[in-house]
Amino acid sequence: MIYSPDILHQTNENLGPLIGGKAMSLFRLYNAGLPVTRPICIGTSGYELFVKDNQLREKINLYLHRQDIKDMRWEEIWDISLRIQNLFLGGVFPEELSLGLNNLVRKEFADQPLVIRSSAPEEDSQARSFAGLHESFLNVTGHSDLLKNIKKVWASLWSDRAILYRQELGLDVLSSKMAVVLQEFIEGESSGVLFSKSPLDSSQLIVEGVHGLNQGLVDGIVEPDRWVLDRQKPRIVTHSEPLKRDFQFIRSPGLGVQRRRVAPAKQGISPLKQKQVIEVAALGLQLETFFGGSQDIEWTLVGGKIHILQSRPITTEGGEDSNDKRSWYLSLTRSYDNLLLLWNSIAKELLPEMDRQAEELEKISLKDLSERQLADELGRRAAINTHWVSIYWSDFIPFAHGARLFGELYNDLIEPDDPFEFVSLLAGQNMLGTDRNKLLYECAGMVRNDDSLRRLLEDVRLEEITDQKFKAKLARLKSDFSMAGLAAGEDAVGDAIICQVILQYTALETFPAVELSRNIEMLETQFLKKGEKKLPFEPEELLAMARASYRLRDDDNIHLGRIAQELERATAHARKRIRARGLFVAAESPAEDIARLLKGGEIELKSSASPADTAVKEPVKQRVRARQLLGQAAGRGLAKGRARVVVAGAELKDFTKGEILVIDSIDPTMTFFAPLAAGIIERRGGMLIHGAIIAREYGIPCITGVVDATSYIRTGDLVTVDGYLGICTVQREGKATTPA
Amino acid sequence: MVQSEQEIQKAIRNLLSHQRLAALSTQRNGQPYTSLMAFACRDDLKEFVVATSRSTRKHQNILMDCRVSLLVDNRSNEEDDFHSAMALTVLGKALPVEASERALYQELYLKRHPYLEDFLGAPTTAFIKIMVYHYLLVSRFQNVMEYSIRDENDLFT
Repeated sequence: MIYSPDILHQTNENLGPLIGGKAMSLFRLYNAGLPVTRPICIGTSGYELFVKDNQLREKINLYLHRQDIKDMRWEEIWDISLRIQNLFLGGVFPEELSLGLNNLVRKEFADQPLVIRSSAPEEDSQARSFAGLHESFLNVTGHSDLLKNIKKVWASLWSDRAILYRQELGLDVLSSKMAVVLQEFIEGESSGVLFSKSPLDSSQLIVEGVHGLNQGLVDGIVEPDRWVLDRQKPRIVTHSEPLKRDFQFIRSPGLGVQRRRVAPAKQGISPLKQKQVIEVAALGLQLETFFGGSQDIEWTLVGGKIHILQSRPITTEGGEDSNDKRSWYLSLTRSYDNLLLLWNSIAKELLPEMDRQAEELEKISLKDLSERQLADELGRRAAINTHWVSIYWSDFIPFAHGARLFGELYNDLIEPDDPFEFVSLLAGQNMLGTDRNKLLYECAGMVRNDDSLRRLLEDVRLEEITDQKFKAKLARLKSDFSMAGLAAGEDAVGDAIICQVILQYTALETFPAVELSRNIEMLETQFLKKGEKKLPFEPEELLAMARASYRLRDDDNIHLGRIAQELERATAHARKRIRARGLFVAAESPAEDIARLLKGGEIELKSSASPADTAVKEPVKQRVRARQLLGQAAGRGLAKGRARVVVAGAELKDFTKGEILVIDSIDPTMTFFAPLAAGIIERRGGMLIHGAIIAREYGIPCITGVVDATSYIRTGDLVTVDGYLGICTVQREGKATTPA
Repeated sequence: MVQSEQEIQKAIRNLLSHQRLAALSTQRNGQPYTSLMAFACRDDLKEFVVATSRSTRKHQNILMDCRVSLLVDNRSNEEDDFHSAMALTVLGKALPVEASERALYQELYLKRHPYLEDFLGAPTTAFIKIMVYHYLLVSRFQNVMEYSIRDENDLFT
């Protein structure tokens, strides 16, 4: 089960499946007398023993087979990955292996800190590289931390990226195994990577280097110095310096590594002297000859001497392999520093600017504009909307990773039984959605005591309301919270929704308190205390960033909704003017077409949609029905009630207290129904999506990721939402008959 | 993906074609009773046929109450079953095979179970058809789809 490099002298058997690609190449380098610290490998049989002892196989299977993996979104795979990785962290280390390791580590490494690396059998082959998909852990000391980090390496076989990548390559996810390499940890003064053949020019090679450990470089956190060399000589062709050499990774006094500022005097100096760059390059070429193919090498410099950390074949030479989407999967996660930058720019620049622009648009009196001015205004609003939608995808969505990064670090640090315990530290903040709902409740309170107000709302005669206080609240609902009817389109429908929702809120006797777990304070203290010692970042800052990420995930749609609503207000107004001229304009006509019509131009008239286009998907034949549908348990609790299936936003106005909302995906601009809902079923999956967030805020049972929920469930069906198991049961009304 | 009638029929047919035995549930005075039965099923999924000795408890039960249920599954008695096994519950009405249909059903049954020719031919054997009203197909541990093959209201309201 445990192998040392001598094994290569003892057998001719292909050891790849037993020890993995990385261990294999390190063993060969060591045996050849090349500068590499002595590697020891726990074979894949160690992984198999752990999985068997802890009965993990079928548990993993059940998670992975709840739905067809092809139907799952990345967020859902991340959730499953978190659950599976938590199974590993909570598993008991096989005693026999633990004892063997204890003796071996003492003998081989004495009390030296260790580095623990993944070595998957499929990894580092000529055909495909898993670089960056599995974990390595540096500076590990003590037996219990050794065992914990080995479990973490095994668990990294189930990271979201690794699952997706295997799926992409068509590898059998379930038969995957992992070997682990142990080496003495050496702390270099400089480190880096080397590509013995440049992917852009095969006559060149590339060396990248940073001060300190190469963790920051490999994870993309620290920008390196970069040298391009001529392979023939080798001689330096170009040297590109980074903008700043302000951060480096060094060994932590405790476990792991930490990010620290580079001393000012060192910031102006390259991590390698020219002579050393040539030496690193020469070693790279030597390894290329040794392995018989171009290599991607990680190295470090200790006391001026180069050490090889690992070497693997470059999988694609002379260009991008169109089948290799690894870089895309890797880009789904953002580094801590990148998240901090995003947070700063979103909170301090983007959101205030978006609100400022929305306010400016709200002030414009559209009816005073000439046709031409209105046409220009429409064009301007469409462009503003497009601009913010693109920012939403480029900045807001990536920032949502902040909550996930926190979850991963929290689980690693605390090892909770519930892998989603971290969400309770993020929830319960003041979010725009819950603020809006409080305002709706206040309006409902006024209506409850005023029959004339109630009548006006029932008849949707908002313009006749005289109560100034009520009018002010209404105005805030419409502007600040974009409730003027974005989904509804026309003004009248927007007003009808607000009236209906306020009237529904009058049925709420008390406002549902935002759920606050009593032990949050305890969890927070525990996290900060432990994090102080073991996290590579400031725990307070990390928590604040994660809370902002979680909150903004919900708030940003409401901010964006204000802009979209202003575009809609202008198009609705323009449509009215065009129709007043007796011309036809469809409700879904784009802003550009409407602008052209306003200016007196013509647009190509599309024949009105054929019945086939407008049909809301062919209704599922009644003969085939869902009795029980599976999703993810995203909000705990059990609820039973009538389903209200919402396909278009306007249908939300029919939502009545005590119903179960069944919806494709919830937008925070829609979550005003939440205090009224008995339960939520959402087609889109994930534990950190809007429906799940708002459900947890109000303590409502919620299931997400119920594929085809809106097709199989019909308004009026009696539905049971089991928010513990993620199962919804559908009952249809009808006479109970049995074959007689 | 939403399952069409053809798709669920295909899934049911596929499961049935790989299984020879079904658990049959009958009842007497509210006491359920379960027996393992060789079965065959028509291609249109509307009828099953089973055979039993007339003296058996299950046959007596059927004579008193023709409402029955069958369970067919593809479990392998391994851990993997929890995520990969499928189970089909069949609800229907058990009636004697009429003389006019005997030849057709006998061919269906014996094609599936040729070794039961003597058993089926014995004068003491009752040949029974089960008219199917509903199917419930369970997959992925707890995903349950219902298929009403005859125009009846929901059994479970």
